Order: sequence, then C-alpha cells, then structure tokens
Amino acid sequence: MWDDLPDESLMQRAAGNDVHAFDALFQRHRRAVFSFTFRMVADSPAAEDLTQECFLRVWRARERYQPTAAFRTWLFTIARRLALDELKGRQTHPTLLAADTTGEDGSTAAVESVAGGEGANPQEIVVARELSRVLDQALRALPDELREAAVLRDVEGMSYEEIAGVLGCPIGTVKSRLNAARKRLQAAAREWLEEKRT
Amino acid sequence: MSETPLVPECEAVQAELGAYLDGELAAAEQTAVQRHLETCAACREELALLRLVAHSLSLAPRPEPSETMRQRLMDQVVAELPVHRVTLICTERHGDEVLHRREMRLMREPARWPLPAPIPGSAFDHLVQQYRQETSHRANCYQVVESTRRSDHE
Repeated sequence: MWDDLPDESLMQRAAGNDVHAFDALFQRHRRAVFSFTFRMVADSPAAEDLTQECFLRVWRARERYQPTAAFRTWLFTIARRLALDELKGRQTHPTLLAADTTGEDGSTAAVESVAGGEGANPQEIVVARELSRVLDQALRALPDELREAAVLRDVEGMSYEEIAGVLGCPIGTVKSRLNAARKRLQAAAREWLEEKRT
Repeated sequence: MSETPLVPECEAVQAELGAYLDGELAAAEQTAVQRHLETCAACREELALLRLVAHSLSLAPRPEPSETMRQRLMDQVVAELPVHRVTLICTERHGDEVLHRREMRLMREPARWPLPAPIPGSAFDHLVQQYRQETSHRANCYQVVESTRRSDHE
C-alpha cells in the first residue's frame, strides 16, 4: 500500500497523525539509519538507541516538516547530529569492532551473497570478504568528518549534493573530505594487497 | 612502499578520480580525465584500486536494528498521539419543542502498537452509545446523535 508513495507524501500523512504511514517510513529507512549510526559510533546497542531517537524526533517534528527539503537528507541530518553528540559525550574514539558486522561464525554472509551473485569465483569471494574487513577497520579509524562522508557515499550511496545537505557544507568540501578519506582507505587496501603478495 | 612523485598532470587527475568514479564531474571534466586515463598506466592503476575500495565498501554488511526496537519506538509514537476531541451533537424532540445539545468529550487511541485496523465510523460508536445510555432517562425524548472529530493537542 505504501510502497508507491514517496517519502514526502508519507511524511505529510504522518503529519496528520497517520501512524501507519510513519511506520512505513521507518521500515523504509531504519536499516540505512542504523547502519550509518552503527558505523559512526561502533556500538550496536548505542546505534539502536540513536536510531530510535532519530525517528522519534522525526515524529515529534512531523508538523513542522516542509516537503521542500528531501526527507532522506533531513533524516540523516538528525541521525548525524545524534551520532556526533554521542561521540562527543563519550570523548573517546570508537573502538574497532569488526566482529560486530560479521555473523556468529565470523562469516560475512552479505559479502558472499553479493559477490557470489556477480559470478565471482571462491577466491574472489575470499578476497572481497577479507578486504571488506580491512576497509571496515580502516573506515572506523578515520576522523569523524571523513568517516561520515565516506559512509554516506560508499555505504549509503548518496550523491555529493545529498551529502552536502546532510553535512551542511559545500559540495567542494564533500569532495575534499571524500578524497582524504579514500586516500587513507586506498593506503590500507594497498598495504593489505602487498602483504598478500609477499 | 616507496612512492614516486607524481607528475603535475597525474596529480591533478588523481584528485578528480573519486568524483570521476562517482559520476560527479561535469561532462567536459569527465572527458578530460578519460583521455588522460587512456594514456597513463599509473592513473589507471590508481583508478582500479579506488574502484576496488569503493566496491568492497559497498559489499560491507548493513546490520539491521532489532524488532524490539521497532516495538519500543512505535509504542512511544502511539503514546504521544494527541487526544481526539469528539463533539457529540444531539437533537432532542420534546413534543413540539426541539432542543440542540452539544457536548465535547475526549478520546484516546489505544496506547499500544500495532493499532487495530481502522473501521470508518466505528471509532465513536461507543461514545454515542454511552451518550444515549446516559440520557435515556429523559422522558419523551427522541434523539439523533451525530459525532464529529477534531484531532487536537491536549
């Protein structure tokens, strides 16, 4: 019923206290918001709390929402602010919790399914899985402002314009932050590939 | 690993490779980078590494929040729904005399998610029935009761 409706229409219904429309919005974006906050704070229970708080703020602001702004940009602006507040509150850098994104047996099922779906051979799947772990750790080691840009682009697939809207900065700044983040990620990948060769 | 210094042209192109890969360059810039790549093995190698990194990141698992979180959120959302002000409009006939009464009552939605499926017109039936019972002692009284709803904050 809700699949055909754009976010902005669902939000307008939510503004009229339509809880089902709001739930549809939540279902549509919960994974992306959780994934983003998780990569920012590297703590699953904290990321759940942030995701819940993010959507609660959307609900409470439903009457003030103006459809002139893209809903997703607005949603991630709230999520980002919450994640940064959480990090500021902790005054610590997120620890490396690569195991949190893997299954109980240590396998990254999502990596295998996607890589396998593209006709990759078993060796390529192993390489993709291992590199994905290396990059996940490198991503978590980035400064907050570089990590958020890299996650929004490379994990969430946002355009530069959308990212600029979320971060509240010019597109040029997005580009330079992405370049800086990718340089470090490329360095980690290069190092790993060289270790593998030797 | 020892890195050889880049020639200025390669340096300029490599600063644009990310945007090139993301399709975020203007058409002219995109073409210029493409032309350079056709002749420069070092920049092609850099692009391949960038592509591998971007691809691997896109394969990273995207964890999902728990179902209990959804329940907690939606319980909170439902609990914050505004109270409905329901205006009951009653027309009473007492012989030749007609009386109009208006009465405002408050009604809350159920406080737990999921809400029952909405059935048009049924939400106020119990209020109307209640009103009829409360006023049934009025003698010679024929009642027509209608209800209107206005959602409002408390």
